[in-house]
Amino acid sequence: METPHLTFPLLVTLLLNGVAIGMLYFLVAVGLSVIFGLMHVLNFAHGSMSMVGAYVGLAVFRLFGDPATGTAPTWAFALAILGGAMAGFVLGWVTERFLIRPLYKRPIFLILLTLGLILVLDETVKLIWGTSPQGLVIVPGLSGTVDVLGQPFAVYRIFLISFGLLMIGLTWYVVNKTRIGIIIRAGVQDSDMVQTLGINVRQIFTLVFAFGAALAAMGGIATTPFTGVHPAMSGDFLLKTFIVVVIGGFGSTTGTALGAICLGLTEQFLPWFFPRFAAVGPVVLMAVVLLVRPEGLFSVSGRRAG
Amino acid sequence: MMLKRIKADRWIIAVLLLLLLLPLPKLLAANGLIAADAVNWPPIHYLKRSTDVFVWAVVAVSYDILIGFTGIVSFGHSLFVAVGAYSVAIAVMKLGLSPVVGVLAAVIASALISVVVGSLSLRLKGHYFAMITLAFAEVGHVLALKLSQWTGGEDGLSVRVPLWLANRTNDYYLGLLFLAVIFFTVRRITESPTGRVLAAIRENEHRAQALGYDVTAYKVGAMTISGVIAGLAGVAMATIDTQFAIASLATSGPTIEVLLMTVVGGVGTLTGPVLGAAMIRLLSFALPGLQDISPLFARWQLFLGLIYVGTVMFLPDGIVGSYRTRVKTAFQRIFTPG
Repeated sequence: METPHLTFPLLVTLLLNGVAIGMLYFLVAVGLSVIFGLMHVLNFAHGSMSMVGAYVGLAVFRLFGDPATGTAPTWAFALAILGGAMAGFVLGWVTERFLIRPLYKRPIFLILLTLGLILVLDETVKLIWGTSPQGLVIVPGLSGTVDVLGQPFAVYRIFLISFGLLMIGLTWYVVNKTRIGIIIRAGVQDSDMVQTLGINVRQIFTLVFAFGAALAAMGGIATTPFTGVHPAMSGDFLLKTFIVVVIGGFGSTTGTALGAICLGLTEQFLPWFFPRFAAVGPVVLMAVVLLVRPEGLFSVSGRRAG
Repeated sequence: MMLKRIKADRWIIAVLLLLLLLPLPKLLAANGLIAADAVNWPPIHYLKRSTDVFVWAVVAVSYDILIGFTGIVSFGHSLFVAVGAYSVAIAVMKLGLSPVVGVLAAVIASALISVVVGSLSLRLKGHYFAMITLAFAEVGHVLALKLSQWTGGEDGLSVRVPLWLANRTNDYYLGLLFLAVIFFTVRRITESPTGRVLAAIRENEHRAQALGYDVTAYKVGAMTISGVIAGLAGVAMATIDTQFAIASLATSGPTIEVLLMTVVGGVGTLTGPVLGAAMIRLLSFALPGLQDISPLFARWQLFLGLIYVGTVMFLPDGIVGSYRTRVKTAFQRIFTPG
């Protein structure tokens, strides 16, 4: 198979596509990253929470229109994102408060618990919504394409890039410029010390877990116009989240953003240059980063930056 | 000593005897010693499912070496099951070799791969180790899908076994023998001086290091033993159980199921994982059959998830582990003065 000539406009399109996909990965991954940095819990059910968000979002969308034809007003999609996020928030809250909290002292059991949650959440989703994939067509306001250097570029991807940048900006602001944020950053460094200083760090744990799951849920529903909603989402999301977070470094929001864009670009460009390695490339990248630089590519001298 | 051991093992011996005797008439019939049509008990599916339980019990026992006796949680364990299954399948079906060569190939391949994966990944600790084993398993999964001229891709490889292996009664006895040999070998290993060092690593890695043990070498060793046993279980799967090698064996799904077996039965007890394997495999046969009662049972894995969460929250030592602690405390209560 001959590789088509990579022209400049095509390069730009691939670049923009990679960034747009990267934004989705950021949304899904940032919660896992901060949760691990703060409480050393590797939440294997994170991908499943993202999927639950996508399904709930779809259900909300159905209240206003037919997802298969996209005959719904644009704001229905906004409500879908919001509804999915709320479902994620509640799920994250309940999980941390009632299941994770009693087990903080036994890290291996925390892994086992979140593994069990994968089964519970995935099977519940299949029980309620069935196993066949369900489509969600892009709503009128976000459909269509615009011209970028003579190449068509989907409006929805532009929406993704702007929405993603907004969310990156928001998380960056919360983590770096607010009182909650400084507690989170201090907690990533040493959560016992924060507790000693008279701050109820447990409450912050619950909050971060809930917001992390809410962001993941948003990512889940925002992916659906590309891939539809299907039960295999949870596994896909989980693996991609791990790749992003390993590349970016645990506990860092900026690292996660860079890692997510990195993965998005890799996925766009790898099939062009090495089509044979497209499927394993990202996983191999993750393994190499883990072996060479387990603190992540974008952390400063091994320390986890905010 | 010997007598004490036998006494402590009386339950295991009783179960073994029962399993040995149950299909004995069938064994005689299968090998032409009595008239075959006279025997139709136990039914074929009893033999089939028991064989399946034996094979998965071996995988669970091999996993217990890692999680229970060395204290490492791998998410790529079923990769070695896949390696074993594919080794024998490729040797027999693609190269036309005898299954015996396939078994040797499986041992060599799973040993090599576990040494490589182990020495690369065991430099990492805890969660990072868990993630890199997941990555290795995923690479294995994708390779098994992509190298389709060897592996059959998505369809997998069906193994045509010699006639005497196509007999379910023989398979049953082979599986039982396999499990018994592995169980007692592994128990011997865990009670050996090497096993004590592994336990020391599990309890406190730094202390073991300070005492002069090469912790990484011991861990790689444990992973290799465990990997080879899992590889052999893969061989068993491809010859006496499903007679099939499929790429999804390498994914995290089967590993998570094995983890569940080990945890439900009791981590670090060896009998626990066997019990857990029997429970989980039998549940996964029985639950889908209850669909007539309630459509809930179509999603029977939900119940596995609930068992998982329930065990972790309320019975962290597993069934055998909790039983042992209870017996011990009851004993102490009776014999403690005052």
